[in-house]
This record gives sequence, C-alpha cells and structure tokens, in this order.
Amino acid sequence: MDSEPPTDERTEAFLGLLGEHEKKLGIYVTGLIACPQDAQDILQEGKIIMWRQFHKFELGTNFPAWARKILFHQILSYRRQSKRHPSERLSDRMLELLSEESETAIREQRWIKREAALKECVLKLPDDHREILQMRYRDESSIESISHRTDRTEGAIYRLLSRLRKNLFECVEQELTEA
Amino acid sequence: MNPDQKNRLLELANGHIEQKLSADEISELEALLDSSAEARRIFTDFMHDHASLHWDHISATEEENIEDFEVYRPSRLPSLPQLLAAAAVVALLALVLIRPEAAPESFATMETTEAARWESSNLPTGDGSRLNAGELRLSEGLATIAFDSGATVVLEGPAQLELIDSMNCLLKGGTAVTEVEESAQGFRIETPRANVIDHGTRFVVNVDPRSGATKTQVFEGLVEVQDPSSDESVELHTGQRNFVAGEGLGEVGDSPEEGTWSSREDKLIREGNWRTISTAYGDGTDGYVHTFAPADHISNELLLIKNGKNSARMPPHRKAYLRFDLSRFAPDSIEEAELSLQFTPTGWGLASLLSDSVFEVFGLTDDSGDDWVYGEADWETAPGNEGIQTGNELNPEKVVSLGTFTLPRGAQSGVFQLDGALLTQFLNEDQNRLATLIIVRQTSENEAGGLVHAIASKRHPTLPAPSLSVKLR
Repeated sequence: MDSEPPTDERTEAFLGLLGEHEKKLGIYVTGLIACPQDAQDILQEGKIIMWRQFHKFELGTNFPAWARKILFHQILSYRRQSKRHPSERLSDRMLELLSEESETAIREQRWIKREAALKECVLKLPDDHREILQMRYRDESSIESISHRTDRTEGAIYRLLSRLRKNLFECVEQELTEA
Repeated sequence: MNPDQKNRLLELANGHIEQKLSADEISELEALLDSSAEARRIFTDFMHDHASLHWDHISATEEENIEDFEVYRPSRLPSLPQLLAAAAVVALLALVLIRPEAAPESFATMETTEAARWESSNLPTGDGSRLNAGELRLSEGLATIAFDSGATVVLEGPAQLELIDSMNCLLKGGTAVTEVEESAQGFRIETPRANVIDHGTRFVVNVDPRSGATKTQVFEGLVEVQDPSSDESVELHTGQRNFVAGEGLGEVGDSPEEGTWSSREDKLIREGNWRTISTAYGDGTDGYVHTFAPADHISNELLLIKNGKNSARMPPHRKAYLRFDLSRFAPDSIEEAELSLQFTPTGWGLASLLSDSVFEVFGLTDDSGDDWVYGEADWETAPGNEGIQTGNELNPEKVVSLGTFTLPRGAQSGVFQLDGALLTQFLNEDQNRLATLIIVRQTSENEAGGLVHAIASKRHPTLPAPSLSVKLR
C-alpha cells in the first residue's frame, strides 16, 4: 500500500478534510506551542506528514483527531530541535497533560461557545485597545514595533497586552456563565 | 484555585505567550499547572483564546483558501472526479503542501495621501495601510509615509520610492521631504548616485529619474551625503544644499529661497552614447486630433487616443501627434532609437469594453507636413490624416508604419516603449530633421463607450513628456 500512489478521489478527500479542519488544527497547535509563527511551521510540516500517512487514515473516521495525533508528535520533535534550553520551556510531560486537556475541551465542545463569546468580547473593547490587539495578532507586529507606532515604551505595551488578554479571558468566562 | 493564584497563572501564561519567562518562572508555571486540573483548564482555555485571536485575524487569506477547497469536498460534488483532470488535483495538492511564504513584516504606515494618483505599486496605498518592503510609484499628489523607526517621508509625485526597512529606503526618482525624530537618527535615503544619511533633522532629497542626479537640501539639522563609489562624504547643515550629478560629490552651497525640483525636460540629456530629447525640446511639440468628442472630454495636458466603434455616425476617434526636433543629430548618425510614452488614466470610457490594446506608431514621411501647429491642427487638416474617416488608419502615401506596442487589458498607466530598425531608419532618413510620429490605437472597442487612452504631453505638470532616446554611432 505504501508504494501505491493515492488515487485522485483520495487526494480530493484529503484536500476536502484539510480545508475543513485546517484552522482548528492551527488553533490546537498554537494553544500548545504559544508562538503563532512556530505553530504555522509545525502545521505546515504536519500537513506533509498527514499526506504521506493518509493511506492509513480510514475515511469516515475522525480526521481532526487523527491529524492532532500527528501534530502533537510534530510539536514534540519541533521543540527538541529548538535551540532553547529545555529549562526554558514546559516539560514534555506537561505538554501531554495540556494536550489531553485540549482533547477534553474539543470533546465537550467547550471551545465552540468560547470562540463566539471571544468575538463578542473583542467587539466590546475600546477602539484603541482593539487596535493594539490587531497590531499584535493581525499584523503580527513585534512588541518593539508596536511601541514605536504608538509612542509608548515596550514595557507599557507588554503590560497592556497582558491586561487585555486577562480582561478578555474574564469577559469570556462571564459571558459563558451568563449564557 | 484562589483568585491570587489564578491571577498569577494568567500573568505567567501571558509571559509564556510572549516567550518572556525566565527558567524560574517556567518552573513556577509548571508547578502551578501540576497542582490542579482546574489550573490546566484555565491555562488551556487562555491559550485557546490567544490562538483564536491569531487564527481569526490571519484568516483573511486562509478562509479564501478554504472556500476554494469547498468545491472539492467529495460529499458536495460527487461527480467532480470526472470533471477534474488529474493534473489539476495534483497542482492543488502542491498548493496546499508547499510552505507559504511567511507574511513579510510591515515597518511603515501610509499615513495620509493628498490628491494622490498611483501607478502600479506593489504595496497598498490606502490611508492607514501598513507597508512592508516594496515599491511605491506616485504619479501625482502627496503621500506621507511614517516609518516605525520615527522617520516621516512626504513623497511628492511623480516619484518612485522603494521601501527597504524601517531605517532605509531607495529614492529612484522624484522628491522626498523627510523629517526624522531622534529615535531614527541614521535614517538613510539611497539614490542611484548618493546615500543621504540623516542625523536628526528635516531635509529634502530630489532625484532625477533619468540621470539619478541627486539634490539634497537641509531645512534644519545635519545630514551626511555619501558617494557610494568612493565612500567620500560631505556634511550639510541647516540651510545648505548639495548636488550630485557627475563624478564625485558636488559643492556644498547655500539654499535658494525656492529651489527647482523638477526638471522641465526641455534639454538634451546625455548619458554615454545616448541622447534623450522630449517633445519639449527645440522645435518639438505634441498634440492630438479628434472627431467630435463630448465637450468636457478634451485636454491640454494629455494626448488622447481612441479608436471608436464604427457605426452609422462617426464615432469619437482620437490620434496623437508628436514632433521631435532632431537638429542635433545628423542624418544616418543614429544607431538605435527608443520612443518612451507615459500613459496615464483619463477616467473616460470603460476599460472593460476593450481587450488588450494594440497601438501603432507611424512616421510622417511627407516632410512638408512637419510644420503642424499645436492647437491649430484638426482632424481634417492634420498631416497624413486628410480625408481619413477611421480611428486607426492614415494616408498610406504620407506615412510609414514603425511598429506596434500593446497595453494589456485594464492597464492605463505606465511607460510604454517602441524601438526597432524601422524607427531608427525613419529618424536617420528624415530630411528636415523634424520628425512627426503619429500614434493610433488599432484595437477598436467591443461596443461604444470604451476607454480613452492618454499619454502625458509636454504640457503635463508632473508626468514626463514623450521622449526619444537615440544612441549615436
């Protein structure tokens, strides 16, 4: 089977499934690795592995769960290749616990409501705060570059982002309890 | 978890996102997460919010991709395998698996634009747009670009500026007035002839797009002008200026009250064996003739060209006339020649009614017609056009075709050129050393109401006039 090239139907099935789930998979990886740029690299490598392994995937079973297993292994190997010292990151064991927690959240469909609430909460932010978030998340600007653009110190931007993330988290929790 | 622990957890999670945690803080976070399932729940959800913010914001392109793929979902379109060639599927797969190029990092903002008209720039030009490395081509108006470093450049059209990073740009032509805050000291404007390095100041740099000659004038502060070929440099203080044109750096002098920043192009420009003249040089001129046209669809500054759709009544046709003064070039002295025309949009007529537009350039062989006068020549009397009723033909006894060039469908601006042996031969053989060139559009519109094309004339306040470059033997 390994040597047999996939048929067109199989290729289309792969493309269809990937298209449908890619963003969710990206969110899963980013949640575990924290740095969005690293997450994009991992997802990219993961997609190639998924394609190579796709003959092992049984159509009609849970594609995202299958893909997450591949991605989790990619995360671990990506971390091992990283130049950062192991003491500068969470342990592999902790990452496994966190991945299990993610699986729980997905199984319980906890994040579907959460994403809707998050959108609401972002809309409630004052314009200048939303702009800072946009710079960080949409433009992928560094804290240094945001500090130049807004004429504030890097420390101030770091603290502001920290506060904004915390406020959003609390706003989402609030929305979810009220709902 | 008590509220203090929760606050600390979120604080550490934020540091984790920004990758700013020390080894001690990592251990503290690990211990907190180890201590309770609730802590892991909170942390995972917090990280999920962060991830959603990222993926929802960058998804503008991702979602487009997803929409593209939707049609390939087998459940929706079961008959697709038959419709799709195998090659298309493989190509699509390659598209998905090939690593997309990382989004280039932006480092400047298009702050404001005033009466700006852009040519094909590869950067966004809307107010507030974020800019990364790339080129801006401003054909007229003003554009203010704020670099994240603290430098602000006001570009005066026509100008061509390449953004390199937050501390460097390359001015290929035109005028840039620059103000640099302390944080951006060392901000550098490269030109084809010089490097202008700022040391905290307000100054203006102007570059001649043809020769690269660089003028620098300091309003306030200190600027260094470097000759990149020799590493020599001069310092300019408040009120001083410098002009780099030929070899080496020019003299440092005092600024005039009102400098001349835009060359009028009525001169003969030399560069090696090449000489360039425009229709503004000597006895040259330019104009256009037309059948009837809506009263407000006329222009002094533009040379209009249109080949209307023929119908019962005569449609609006327009043909452009150029005259170059060749008196400085002897017959048979020209080895190569190149005609350059700056097209610019008119806003009249619809581009979608035209396919790719082919323009044909004719040379007037009947020298007795070379004395046409701008403003007097009209459709009935223009040389070579006497008695012609169509938008694309001329009297074959008086003109010779020199070649064609094509504007792709939708393109209305940019420099388009014609060269070749026919043009060179025509210029060499011209007896009275006044060469009249006539430009018509061979492509007719698909239905009435199609686009009017325009070339900047010698009277255009900002765009370059039609020009002829010749290489002498």
